[in-house]
Amino acid sequence: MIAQGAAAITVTDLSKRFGGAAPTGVLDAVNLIARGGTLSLIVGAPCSGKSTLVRCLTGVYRPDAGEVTFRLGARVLNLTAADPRTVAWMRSHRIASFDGQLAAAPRLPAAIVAARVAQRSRSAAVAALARFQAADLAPAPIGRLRTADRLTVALAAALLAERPFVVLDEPERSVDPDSLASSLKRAMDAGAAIIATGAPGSALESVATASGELRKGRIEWHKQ
Amino acid sequence: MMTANAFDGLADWTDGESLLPPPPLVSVRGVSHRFGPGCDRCVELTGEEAGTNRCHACGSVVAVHDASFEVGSREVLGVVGESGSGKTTLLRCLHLDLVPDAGSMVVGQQENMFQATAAHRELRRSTVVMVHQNALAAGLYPRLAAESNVAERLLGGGARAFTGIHARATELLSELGLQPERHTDALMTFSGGMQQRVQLARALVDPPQLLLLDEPTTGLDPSVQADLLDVVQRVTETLGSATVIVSHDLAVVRILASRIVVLHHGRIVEQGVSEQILEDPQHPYTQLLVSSRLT
Amino acid sequence: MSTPNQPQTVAGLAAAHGKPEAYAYLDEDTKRNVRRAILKALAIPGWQVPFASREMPVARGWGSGGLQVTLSVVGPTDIVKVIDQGDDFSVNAVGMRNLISASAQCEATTSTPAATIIQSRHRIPDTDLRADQLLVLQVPHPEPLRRVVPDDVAALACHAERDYTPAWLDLYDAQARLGGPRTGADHPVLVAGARLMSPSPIPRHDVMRLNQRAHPILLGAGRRARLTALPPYTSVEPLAFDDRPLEPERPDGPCHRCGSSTSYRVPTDGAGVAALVWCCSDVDACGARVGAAE
Repeated sequence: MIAQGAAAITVTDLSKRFGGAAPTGVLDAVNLIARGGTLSLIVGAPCSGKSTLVRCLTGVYRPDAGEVTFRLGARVLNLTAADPRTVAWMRSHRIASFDGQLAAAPRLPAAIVAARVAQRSRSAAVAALARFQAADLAPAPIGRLRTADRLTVALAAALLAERPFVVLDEPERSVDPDSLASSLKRAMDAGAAIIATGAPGSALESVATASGELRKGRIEWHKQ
Repeated sequence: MMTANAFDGLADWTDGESLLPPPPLVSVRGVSHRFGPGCDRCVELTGEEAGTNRCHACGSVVAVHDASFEVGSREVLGVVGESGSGKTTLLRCLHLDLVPDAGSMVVGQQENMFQATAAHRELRRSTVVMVHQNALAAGLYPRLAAESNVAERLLGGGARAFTGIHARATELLSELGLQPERHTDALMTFSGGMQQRVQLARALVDPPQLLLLDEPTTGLDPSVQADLLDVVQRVTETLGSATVIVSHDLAVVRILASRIVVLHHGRIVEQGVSEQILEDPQHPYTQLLVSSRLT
Repeated sequence: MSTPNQPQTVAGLAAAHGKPEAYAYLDEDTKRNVRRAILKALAIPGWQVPFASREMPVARGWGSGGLQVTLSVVGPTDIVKVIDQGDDFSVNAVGMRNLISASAQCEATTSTPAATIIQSRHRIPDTDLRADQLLVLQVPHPEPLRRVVPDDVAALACHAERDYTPAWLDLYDAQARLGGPRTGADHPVLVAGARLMSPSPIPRHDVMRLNQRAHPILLGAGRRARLTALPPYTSVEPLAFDDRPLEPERPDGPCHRCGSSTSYRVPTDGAGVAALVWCCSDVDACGARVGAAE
């Protein structure tokens, strides 16, 4: 168990826009602090920038401005300024992320894929899938699964990984809310700093420590 | 028989945990190589702005200029580039086939591999192993048995007991899916996908510090490719090696590599986490490459 | 008479031609070159030393190298024996023995214990030689790596770096596919544990007898112009895995003539019986045994 609050994700003035005229996917000086042992829930309408935010937090997108900083105990890392090797290492060792993607060799059984991503054993991966009522997916080659099931596997892998920083993009679309809520609670109890996005009216509101809505590129916090 | 709580193991990481990766196993700095007489304008007249890797003042080809990157143990770095990008030259330098005009490569304890001329053959055999697109181009022996090709690395390392070598070579070949009755068949009697497996067995038999994969799945049928990806991924994870994979197939690189380096006209134009290169490419050439994929 | 600055004329050369021949057929310069190569070869056991190989009255590949070695070291007090696969009376053996003894004005013999120099093709005499005897072997292909390495440059690199992986690989492949080495004769040997050498196409039975001999062995390859040498008491081991030692040939029966079951025997006809019978290859040693029995 790490001390509560020893982990933290700090986002400072994060801005991201994509080339072109459409105003979608734009973040405009977003600020947020997610401490260890808490769940920060950010809801938003479709195309409000939730996925963009998650991807900026996990090193997939490079922000146009601002900083994403991770703290663990006395160590601090500015992910936005870090070299790619450090970012890759953080993604595979410290950050458990789910952003709707899972690239894996198509012949591998889903349980093995999850085990590798999370760096845990196959049996632990099977158990994780079972927790989300997806045990039947475990032996299937990942390439044969339909998209929704692949996402379930990806999310199960992220939650299996036991890392201090957890960033999830719309997890409720891929697993049922109750098992998700209990997994997130356990992670919080163990000291992880968790950020999750969802649709308005998300069931995670009840377990979230802080929640806000992403509108027009900024977060309006309801509860903190 | 399963643990009740997925997060029980969170206790493993403590306040003292680092947010930085361990020191890299392979460190390449400033590798540059030119074919031709060379002049003092070569660097200026080639590269991104010039749009070519050929110096029009002297006719030299600046194949690679100032390439630097690091790879840690169990990490896979993808090198992506089209023909003429310099990736072949870079690979040849990494494989110690070619000593570049400038630059250094540190692998583990070996300081600057490019300068170790005397024991080159020895070093290469034990430190760096290449898996080629074409097994025959990799220096394997088409007329010798599959298991002999695997045993070669052990023999080169000084193993002199037949029984032990034979057991290890055949064990690995079986693990990689070659039937025991075919172990003594000549390499050239195997299909492309099987020859790749023999190459991988060669790498596994005496894990190198640096594993180079040169278009390992190119030219194979899709189902064979899918099978091989599984094996390659397993190999890159079980060996403690640092792996560099060169491929023009972005989908393959994405699956196997955690980071990608993009080469264009001999220069590294962008380097980043695989997902970032593919989802949010920053450099115009990277954007061109990524957008050219068939989806 | 020509002054130093005037070139010799054809007439002058022809007039000088009537002079007596050089001692032991070869001119002194050639013999000096060969002797120097021999000394160097003895100093680096197993290393192929190039020498200026001359045209000889025996075909290239048929002993011209061995012959040049013998002619370079022979003296009037030597007693010379020449054998060809154990037989003193093959056409080439007879021809070379006559040439040597005539041009060096020395004695010739068929008896192994009586000889001081023994020149041999493809065999080592069954009778162990003494320290005061010299064995000269005729070598057709001095490069032991010729079948496993693409060219001479690659072979030289292997020798220079003492990296014989291609030879070990070939041995491994044969062991895995055939259960044993492919080489019937000319199985490569490791000299002093370091240098790979071709011992000439002697049978395995003889390859296993090269180790720690009391006498020097010189190997001459005339066609390829290389000399190798083994000084006395040199370690010579056949290339083999630790757990797969080289096996000698196993003849089917004892010698038809002398009854020996330890000599190197070959299937022979013309022994007065209809079918092929096993007879000692070393005719002199066999005859000595028969003589001793009578």
